[in-house]
Amino acid sequence: MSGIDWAVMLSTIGLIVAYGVWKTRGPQTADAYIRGGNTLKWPAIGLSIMATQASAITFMSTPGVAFERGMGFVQFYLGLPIAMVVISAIIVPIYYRQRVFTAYEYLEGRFDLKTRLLGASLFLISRGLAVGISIYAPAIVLSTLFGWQLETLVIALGGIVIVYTVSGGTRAVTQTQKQQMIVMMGGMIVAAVVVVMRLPDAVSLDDALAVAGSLGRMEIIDPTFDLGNRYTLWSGLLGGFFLALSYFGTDQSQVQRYLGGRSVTESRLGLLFNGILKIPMQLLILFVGVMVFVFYQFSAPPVHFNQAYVAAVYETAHADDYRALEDDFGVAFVDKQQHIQALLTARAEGDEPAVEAASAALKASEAKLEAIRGDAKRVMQLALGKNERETKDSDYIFISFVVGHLPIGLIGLLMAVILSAAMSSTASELNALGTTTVVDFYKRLGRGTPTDRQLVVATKGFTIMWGLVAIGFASFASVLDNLIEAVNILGSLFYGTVLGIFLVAFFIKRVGGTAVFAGALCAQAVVLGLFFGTDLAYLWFNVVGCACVIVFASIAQLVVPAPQR
Amino acid sequence: MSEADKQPNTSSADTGPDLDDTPPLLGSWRNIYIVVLGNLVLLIVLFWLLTAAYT
Repeated sequence: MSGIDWAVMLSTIGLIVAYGVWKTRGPQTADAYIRGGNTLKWPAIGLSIMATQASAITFMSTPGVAFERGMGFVQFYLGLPIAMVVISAIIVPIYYRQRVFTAYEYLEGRFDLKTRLLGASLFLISRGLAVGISIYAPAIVLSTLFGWQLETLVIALGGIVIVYTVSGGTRAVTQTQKQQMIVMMGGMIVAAVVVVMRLPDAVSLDDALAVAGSLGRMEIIDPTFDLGNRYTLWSGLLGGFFLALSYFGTDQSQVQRYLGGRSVTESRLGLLFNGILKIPMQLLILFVGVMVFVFYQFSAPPVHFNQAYVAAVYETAHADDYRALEDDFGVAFVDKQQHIQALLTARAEGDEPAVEAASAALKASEAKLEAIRGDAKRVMQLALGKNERETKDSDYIFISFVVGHLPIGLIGLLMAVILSAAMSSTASELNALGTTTVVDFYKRLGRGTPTDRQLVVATKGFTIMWGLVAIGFASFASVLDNLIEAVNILGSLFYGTVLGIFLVAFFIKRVGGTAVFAGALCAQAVVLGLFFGTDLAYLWFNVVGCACVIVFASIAQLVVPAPQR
Repeated sequence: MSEADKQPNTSSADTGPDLDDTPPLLGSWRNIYIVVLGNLVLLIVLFWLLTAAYT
């Protein structure tokens, strides 16, 4: 990166953090520190909600997903607006009336202490492990790409987040997220414009979308009902609805964002703001990925986007094999150009049979290139002793494009986008982990009633502790690659169960704590059984887990004493 | 429509958040929810048209 890029990146991040710390300076009460003092307006809440969900992975991996598989991933978010409406209409008023600090606090009032601790524990386990990934994921890619030391980057990133999250609590997180979200969206809009401008002059946006469509990147909606297909209209609407309902309605890292609202109205509007803008935002990021894909139809891409690995292969005995595949790739790429031109010419002339023929030839040409890329990955695996997942390069596609093809200054801005995303999601998670540990365990189970100051100090202490856990996990994650995958799956396995507990709490008043506790344990066993015994796409675990809790808890209530009123 | 939608304004000026629940525009929360869900339907239709046009 050039000096200008460094200056843009560091000044953007530095100014945001400094502004957040300055804006939230001064004496702090527990309510102000944990819940933001109920001063937040809906734009801040909405941006904070979006920034919490948008991690660095969103901006690095999502364009890579679009590059490889097209824009169908947007269906994952189709259930989100429906969930926002349900949470706004039903859940927000309940939390406000109870004046809770955490979502799990509500469960004790509705059920009992053990159910509250179960919900809080599931959150701490899954989110406590996942927060390390929020730091590790961008750090590993950036360190590989730029040769930066991984541990230094992890400590720097984690350290900055700990400083401003601890200093200002929920208000600091929200204040910084407003600016971070503006940088993130501004950066991606500029990237979208620049990538379209980088296409050859003779290629219009319509032509670019046609090329992408011919190669299967424009299948945005898949109406088929296939339980094994991860992203369809139905899995997105139904599975995505339950996932979003669980994440935004019961996960403290999100609940804490809107509990700080000035009023019920502000919180509701913040959630609905997310319901309207989230899908267009994801579409924009996927569009950037597809345009990068089209760009590489006219400009030769590398065979493998992780150039650090490629350089390592050149140093091994497999270098000649790899170079031979690069030569084959170059020949196949030149061959593909004539099919692209044939397609564009046929479209311009309105010759449908010629369009069909050119499209088929283009697909065959692309399949040949993909086969060579597959062979190159296998050579890389042999040469470097890596497995298939380790040589996956989709996370490197967008960042390689940014570094290789964007102008000076914009590279620094896009780096700031990625680091801002990493910090915004990590800050919310640390803020929520510290809060849940204090409110649901320290304050609830400790002796005596802590003073306001003790609560603030304890929350700061536990936030630092979780920050250090995250940094530690991120530092060791490189030797625990399989564990990272396990952690990601772990989170998705628990969401349905947690949501089921909350839905029973909200809607089935005759079910008590013991029944829902037993129902939750049984439901979790069913989800784990399906996970280990079937190929069911993971979005459906949210539906199954939630439904099982409701059914099992209702049945269990028939055999246990009715809850005392 | 939730129970809170039907409640009169119960602002708590003491320590807690404002429980005032009047939507600032469109007259009622139901209308705002219809706009959000209508936006979703429009997006799905748009995606459908784009899929049909370029696939």
